[in-house]
Amino acid sequence: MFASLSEIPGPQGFSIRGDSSAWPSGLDTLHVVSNLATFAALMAISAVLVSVVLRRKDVHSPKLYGALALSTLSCGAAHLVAAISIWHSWHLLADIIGLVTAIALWSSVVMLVPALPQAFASPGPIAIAERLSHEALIHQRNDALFESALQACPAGILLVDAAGKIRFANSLIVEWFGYQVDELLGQPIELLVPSEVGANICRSQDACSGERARAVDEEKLGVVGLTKTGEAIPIDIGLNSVAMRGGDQVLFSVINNSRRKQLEDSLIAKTNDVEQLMYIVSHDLRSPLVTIEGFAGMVGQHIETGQYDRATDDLTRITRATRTMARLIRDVMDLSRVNRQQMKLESIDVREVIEEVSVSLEGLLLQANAQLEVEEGLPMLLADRNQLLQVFLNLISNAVKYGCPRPDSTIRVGCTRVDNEIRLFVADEGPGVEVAHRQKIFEPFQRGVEIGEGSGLGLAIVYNVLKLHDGRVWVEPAIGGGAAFWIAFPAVAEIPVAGQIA
Amino acid sequence: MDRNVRFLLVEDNPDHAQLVRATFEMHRVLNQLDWVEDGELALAYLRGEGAYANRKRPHVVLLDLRLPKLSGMDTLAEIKADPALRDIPVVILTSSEAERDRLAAMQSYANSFVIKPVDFKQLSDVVNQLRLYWTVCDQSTL
Repeated sequence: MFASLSEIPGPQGFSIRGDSSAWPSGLDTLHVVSNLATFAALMAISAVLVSVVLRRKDVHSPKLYGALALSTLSCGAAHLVAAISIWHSWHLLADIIGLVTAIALWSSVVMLVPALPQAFASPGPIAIAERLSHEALIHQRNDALFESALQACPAGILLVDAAGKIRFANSLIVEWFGYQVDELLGQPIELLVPSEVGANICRSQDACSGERARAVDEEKLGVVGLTKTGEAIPIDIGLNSVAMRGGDQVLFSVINNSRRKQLEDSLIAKTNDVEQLMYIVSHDLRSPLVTIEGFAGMVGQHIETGQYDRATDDLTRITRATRTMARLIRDVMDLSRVNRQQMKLESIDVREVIEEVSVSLEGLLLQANAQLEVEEGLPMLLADRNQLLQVFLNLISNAVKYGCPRPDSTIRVGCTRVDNEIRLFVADEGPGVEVAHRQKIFEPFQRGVEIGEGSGLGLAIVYNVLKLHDGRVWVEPAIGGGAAFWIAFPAVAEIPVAGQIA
Repeated sequence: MDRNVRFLLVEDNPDHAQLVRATFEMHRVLNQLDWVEDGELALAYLRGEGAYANRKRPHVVLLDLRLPKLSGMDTLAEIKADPALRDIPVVILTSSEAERDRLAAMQSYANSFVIKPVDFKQLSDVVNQLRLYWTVCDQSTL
């Protein structure tokens, strides 16, 4: 067991500090140095504690740190007094400091008790590192998800930063505007949207000058985009602000209207064509109807008054007008059939087609006393047989009607191969076509000369057939006078014939 | 109708020209009615050019709209652009009741409109209106 307090040896057995004779010589120095060193270390610790608490705003229990700091501070002070005690024995001061130390330490203990569970609950550095790397992974995944969503978006997507520079462009933007992604990144948005819109987007939101790119959620419709090749494309733009890690950016959702515009234009052109056709048809169909109505009203009166020759004349006019009307209706049907019907491409001997035409026009040729002269070397073509028949029927009957002013006129049909085209012609010996009318005659219902009795649709049919065959048609003066109607097919339409050098 | 009123008919369809002539005859209108077949000839006639040097200036032009060479609308525009011809009233003859013809013709200052087939009552109404117009014109020039 322990010895009682009285058994502890009294101070008489010890030598008093400062009594250098009783202490071994090196011991004083060691005492002073060790106490001063401890004092300095404790000062440093309390200074570090205080500075940590002052600098960090989210310290859990600052009072605890304060108490600990005070404890170390007073411990330090005790060691300082101990060091000085070699020369001066400040017992009262040492005891007061000891009391302060005890109070500070006990307050620390009191505060430590509730703080401990919290301290254990906070993650340690390993857990924090793990969590951070997990978060980085999630960020990475989110970025990848965000980017693939933007890539998969059926609109063109651009992200523009506060300086108006492109930070992201998806594949549709690349496709539409013809730039590679790295050609776009860092470039000003005006590169793609050169109108004031690009600049306005930034300026109105005060984004170019400010730190944050902001856009009021809005749409800019009917904007012009500029491709790498300098082609203007009609686009609509939707604008949104998005908060990105590197600062806010403006998200441009771009809708490309090129295709829609194209379809719209072609629809408008088609509607105009149809409207024009309807207008003209209604005029031209009404014209024979007016004749029929007018003379039918008169024929009765002429019979009543005994003017039989005039009544006969009235009836002749009615019959003729009826025929005109029937022909017009047939031609309108032909024209619409050419435009509507599925083309049936087959290999066709042009010579055979012309023979067929000459047989069906025999009466007309005989009446005009005209010759049809067909040159050698007519090609085999990949074409629609019925349509080609229509073409030659129209061109040759036109040549007979308008191009044979004298008996014994000759209509020539031949072909040449020039510039990747196979060109066929029908040439007559008539007055030719005036320069001013050379384009116009291929429009529906343009009659070349006033003696004409046709529906005015024949050349429109020819024009449409050639258009469907990727070819073209035009008229020029024939050698030796008259008109030469040329029809040209792309060279690929010609089928090589065995034994013939193309 | 005033016997001295001379008409010029511009009509490419001979049947329609015959119809107008027959309508005149049927109503015993013996006014002079000259006929040309297209817009270019109509302008030559009105200006007294070439073969028409000795023609008497017509008082009324009856103008078809669908004409070869120069369309009725273009002919009308030429007439109204020519200070020497501007005051000749032009009556449009057309087989179309389509509003757009009427509008276009009115914009080129056609004086009146008659829808084919020509109804003589309609035609003589138009001419009576025109007579009123001449009276006003004559007074204003006095």
